[in-house]
Amino acid sequence: MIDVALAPGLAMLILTIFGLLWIAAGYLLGRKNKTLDDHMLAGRNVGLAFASATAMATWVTSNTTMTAPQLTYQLGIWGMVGYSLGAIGLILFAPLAGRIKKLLPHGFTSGDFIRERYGNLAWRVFLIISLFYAFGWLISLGMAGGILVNALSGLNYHLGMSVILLVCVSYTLLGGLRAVIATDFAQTIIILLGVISIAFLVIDNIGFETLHNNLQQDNPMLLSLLFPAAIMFLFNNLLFGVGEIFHSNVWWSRAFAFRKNTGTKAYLIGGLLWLPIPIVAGFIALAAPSLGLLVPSADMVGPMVAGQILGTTGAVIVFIVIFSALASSLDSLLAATSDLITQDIYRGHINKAATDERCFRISKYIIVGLGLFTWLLCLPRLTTLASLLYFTGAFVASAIWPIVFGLYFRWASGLAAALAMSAGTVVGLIAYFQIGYYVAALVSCAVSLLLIVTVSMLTRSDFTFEKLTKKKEVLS
Amino acid sequence: MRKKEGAVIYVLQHLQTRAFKFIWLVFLLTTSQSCLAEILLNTDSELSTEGYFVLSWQSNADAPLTLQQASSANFLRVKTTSLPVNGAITITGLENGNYFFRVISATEQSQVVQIQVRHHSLLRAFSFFGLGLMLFTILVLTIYLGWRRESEKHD
Repeated sequence: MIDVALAPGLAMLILTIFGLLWIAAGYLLGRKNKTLDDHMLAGRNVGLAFASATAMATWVTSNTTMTAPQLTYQLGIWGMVGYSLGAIGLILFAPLAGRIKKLLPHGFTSGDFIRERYGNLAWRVFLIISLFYAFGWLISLGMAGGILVNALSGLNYHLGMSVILLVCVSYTLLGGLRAVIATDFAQTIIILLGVISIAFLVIDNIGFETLHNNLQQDNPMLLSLLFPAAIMFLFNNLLFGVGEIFHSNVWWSRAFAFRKNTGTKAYLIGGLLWLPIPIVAGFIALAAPSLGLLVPSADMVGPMVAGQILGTTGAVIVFIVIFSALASSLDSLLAATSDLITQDIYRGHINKAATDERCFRISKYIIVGLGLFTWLLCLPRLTTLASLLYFTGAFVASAIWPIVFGLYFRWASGLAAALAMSAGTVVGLIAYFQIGYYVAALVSCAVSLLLIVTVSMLTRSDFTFEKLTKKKEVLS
Repeated sequence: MRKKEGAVIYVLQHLQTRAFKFIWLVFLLTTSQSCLAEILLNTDSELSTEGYFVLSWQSNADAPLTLQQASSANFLRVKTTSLPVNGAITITGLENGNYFFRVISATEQSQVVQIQVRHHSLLRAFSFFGLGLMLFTILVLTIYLGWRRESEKHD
C-alpha cells in the first residue's frame, strides 16, 4: 500500500470531472459521424498535429507509466533505456504507414491486408494472434485502472475499474475514432506535463549524487552496464514494440485515418516525442532505495515514489497522468478491436454481404460488447492476467516479417506467412518458459524470419500489389 | 506402602526428566527451523537469475520487526530494514552471491531464508544481444530497401 494516498472523495472528484469531460467531447465530436468511414476512421482526414498526438498518446499506456519504473527498478539503467526503445516501433512504422495508405486507400483493418495479400489461412492465424493480443491488452488496462484507483485512494477496485471502463466505452461509442483522436491530443499534453514535473521534483528533492551513491552501495547491478538479463531485454523489448505496432489494428486504423502524406511524418514525430517518456518515468524508480521505500510489488514503485516525495500533490499528478494514459490507450484499443471484429469477423465470416450502414450499427454493438466482456474478465481481479501481456511478445513478434515482406515484396507466400506466425509464436512461448520473458519476442521474431524466407523460397509466389487497391475499391 | 510410593515417585521423576529433555530437544530443533516461530518469512524464488526477488513475511506479534540481510549464515555483518507487521518487499539490484535473510523482533525471529543470485552468463546475454542486433539490422535494411524501391518507382 502506498504511504501517501489521495482522499477517496478527491479521487472520485477527479474521475468524475475528467470522465464527464471525455464523454462530452465524445458526444460533441460524434455528431459529425454520418458514415462508417467517419465512425471508424474519422473521415480519413486527420491532420498532422492530431495525428502525431494520437500516435504518441496511444503508445503511452499504463504500461509506460507503471512498467517503465518497474523495469528500471528490476533491470536498472538498461531497463529504462530498453523500455524507451519501444519508440523504434513507431519510428519504423512511419514509412510503412505511407505504404499502407497508398496500397489500401479504402482499407479498414490490418486483417483486410493479410487476407488480400496472403489468403485465408494466414488471415485466420493472424486474427487469432491479433485478437489474443487485443484482449490481453484490454483486460490488463481495465485491471490497471482498478488497481491504480484502489492503490492511490483506497477506493474499491471494482468501482474504479467500472468507472474507467464506462467512461472510455461511452465516449468511444459516441464519438468513434474522431473522439478517440481528439481526446488523445488533450491527454498527450497532460501526460507530458505530468511526467516531466514529477521527474523534476524527484531530482530537486533527492539529487543525482545521493541517488547514485545509494544505488552503488546497495543495488549495484542497477547501475551496471553488464547486467546480463538487462542486456538480453534490450532488443527483445524493441522487437516486442515493433511487433505490437506493426500487426495491431490500433496503428493500421490510424494509418488509414490520417490525411494523405501525413502518416509517415505523424508516426515519426510521435515516436520521437514518446522516446524520452519511459526514461523520465523510469528514472523516478531509482529514488526508491534512497527513500527507504518498502516496495511490495515492483510495478507499484512509480506511484509510491511520487506519493512519498510529493505527498498529495504527487498523488494527484500521478493519478491524472495514469488515468489519462489508461484512457488514451483503452479508447484506441476499443475502437480498433471493434473495427477488426466488425470487418474481419462479422463482414469477413458471418455476413459477407453486409452493407456499410449495417456495419456502422454493428460496430457500436461490438464496442458495448467489448466493454462488457472486458468488465466481466476484470471482475475477479486475476492479477495473473496482467502478466498476459508478457506472453503476447511471442505472438506479436512473429507477425513482424509477414507484415514487412508482405507490404514491400512479391515473393512472400501465404503458406510461409502462416507457418512463420504459428511456429514463431510456439517457439517464442517455449523460450518464455525456459529462459524468461525478456527473450520471448526475440526468439519468436528469429524463428519467424527463418521460416518466412525458407518457405517462400520453396513456394515462390509472385503477388501483384495492384490487386489490393482494386479489391478494396470493389468492396467499398 | 511407602516403598511403593517411593518407587512410583522415582519412576515418575525419571520419566519426567527424560520427557522434559525430549520436549526441550524438540523445542530447540523446531524454533531454529521456525516451525513454532511467530514470524514467517517466505520468498518467491530461491534462485534469482536477474538479481531481484520478493520476500514476504507474516507475524502475529505487536513488536516492531526488522529485516536483516547478510552475506553469510552467521549474520556477522547485517543490513537492516524496519518492517510493518505483515507485508512484502522487492529486493533488487544484487550481484552474484548467496544472500541470507531473517526477520526479527524483540522476542522472536523467523527462519533464515537463503537466496542465491546467479546472473545469466555474459556469453548467453551477448548471444541474445547479437541475435537481436542482427534481426534489427535486417529489419531496418528491409524497410529501407522496400521504401527506396517504391520511391524509385514513384519517381
